[in-house]
Amino acid sequence: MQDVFTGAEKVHPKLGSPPRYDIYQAHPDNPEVLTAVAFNTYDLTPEIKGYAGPIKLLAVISPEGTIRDIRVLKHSETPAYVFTLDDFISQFKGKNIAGSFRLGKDIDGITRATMTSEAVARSVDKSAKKIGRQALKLDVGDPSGDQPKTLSYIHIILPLLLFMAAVCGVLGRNIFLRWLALLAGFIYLGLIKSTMVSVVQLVNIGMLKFPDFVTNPLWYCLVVLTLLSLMILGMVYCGSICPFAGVQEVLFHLGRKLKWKELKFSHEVTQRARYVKFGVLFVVLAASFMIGNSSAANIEAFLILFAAHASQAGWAFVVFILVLSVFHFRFWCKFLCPIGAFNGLLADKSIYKIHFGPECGGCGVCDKVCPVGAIQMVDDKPLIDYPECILCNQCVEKCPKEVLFFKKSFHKSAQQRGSTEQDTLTKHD
Amino acid sequence: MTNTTKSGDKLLIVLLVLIVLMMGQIMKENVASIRMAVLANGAKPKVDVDKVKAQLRQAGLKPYEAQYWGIPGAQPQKD
Repeated sequence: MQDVFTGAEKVHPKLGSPPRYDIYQAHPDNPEVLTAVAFNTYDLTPEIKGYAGPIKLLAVISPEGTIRDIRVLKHSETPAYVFTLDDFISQFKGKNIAGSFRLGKDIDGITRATMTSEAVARSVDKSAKKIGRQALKLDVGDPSGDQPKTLSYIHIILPLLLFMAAVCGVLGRNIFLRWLALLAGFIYLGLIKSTMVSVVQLVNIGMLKFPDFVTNPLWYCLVVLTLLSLMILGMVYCGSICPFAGVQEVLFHLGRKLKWKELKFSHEVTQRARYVKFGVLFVVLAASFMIGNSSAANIEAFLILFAAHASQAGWAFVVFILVLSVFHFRFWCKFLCPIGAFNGLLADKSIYKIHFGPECGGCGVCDKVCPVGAIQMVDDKPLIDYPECILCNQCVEKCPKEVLFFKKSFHKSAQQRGSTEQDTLTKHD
Repeated sequence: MTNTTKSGDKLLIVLLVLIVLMMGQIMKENVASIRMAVLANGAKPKVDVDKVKAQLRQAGLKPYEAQYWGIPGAQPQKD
């Protein structure tokens, strides 16, 4: 407060209804002249939330109703989306509280951070007008941007259709549907909504920070549908919906079209290198919970790419990953993606899985065609590493004996599964 | 294992180390950006130490009771 009012002589403790700080200026004739009123917007509008919880702001208003300053006290928004938060907030300075604060008309929102922008604008508008009416006794109207939000059903229907297309593509072995879902995911989730399943969501869920369902039904739909598909089929989201995965696959195929040399690594080193993403997941979760917000989790290349806000290091990182994707199939997904690592752990326990029938002769075609190297030949028998399987159906399509199919699975480790399948084959022989 | 694969493996290790370092830098920047918003550029109460000291003295308090104001993290002495 002293930072905002350098000449202020007296700042009263928070008091009154609505709760506020009265700021007085020393004056030779009148020792207590009210200079301004400051308040925490959260005290007045606790119901207004951003993407990941409340955004607490300190607003200072002159007795005439002019916003003199606004400062951020606390927020949990995703850093990639709110790089320009200070510039956005500075737009409020100098405005009269009697005016309107409509996003897109009176205030320019933060690109690709609509929820955050709306929450700040509504919170400032509502709380300032309340202070103006009740504390400063000014004649101000109702909040301009406070119309009650209605549930947008389109953002429930579209993700449902997206997942239905992806699941149909997986179960129907339909490559066209898979690419259609990837394209739709890229356009809808990536370009239009900039909302993807990410480790930031995982951290926010862990910290019990949830957005408002009415204002962001897509967030809930994505989380629920991804979890359901993981528990039933496996990596449907990672394999057929993730916008960044689609970008990587297109880049990889472009590299092959241009006949650029593919980067190949040995099976042993690849298997070990895959643990890097689990390490990244652990570090990100540990750091986030230690700090108490999701800022440390905001390291995913796809968030930076689709949020389109990053530092120079952030952009260099994304470009580097995209270049590597040209030379190696899904480089990010395979070695680095922390949410992919988490999804893989759940996919390993899915109810239905791809299995090999007893007729499998161990020709190894599936091992050769698997683009992510999720199939390994052990004693001439194929073994699927389910946390890595993206359900692309390449193995199912190319199997000369057509012995791969989805089957209800009991939870067993990869080793146990291998031995059981071998036993079955031995008995069959 | 072919020589190409061996060199590929070395390249993979180098790439992963490089990327992990970049991720560390981005994580550091993100954490700092939130802290900057909340601490450095946010509301920060400042205390005019000399003024408070003078007021304390005027109020008849003993000098040692005002000493801790100027020392970050210091606590008042106990009787």
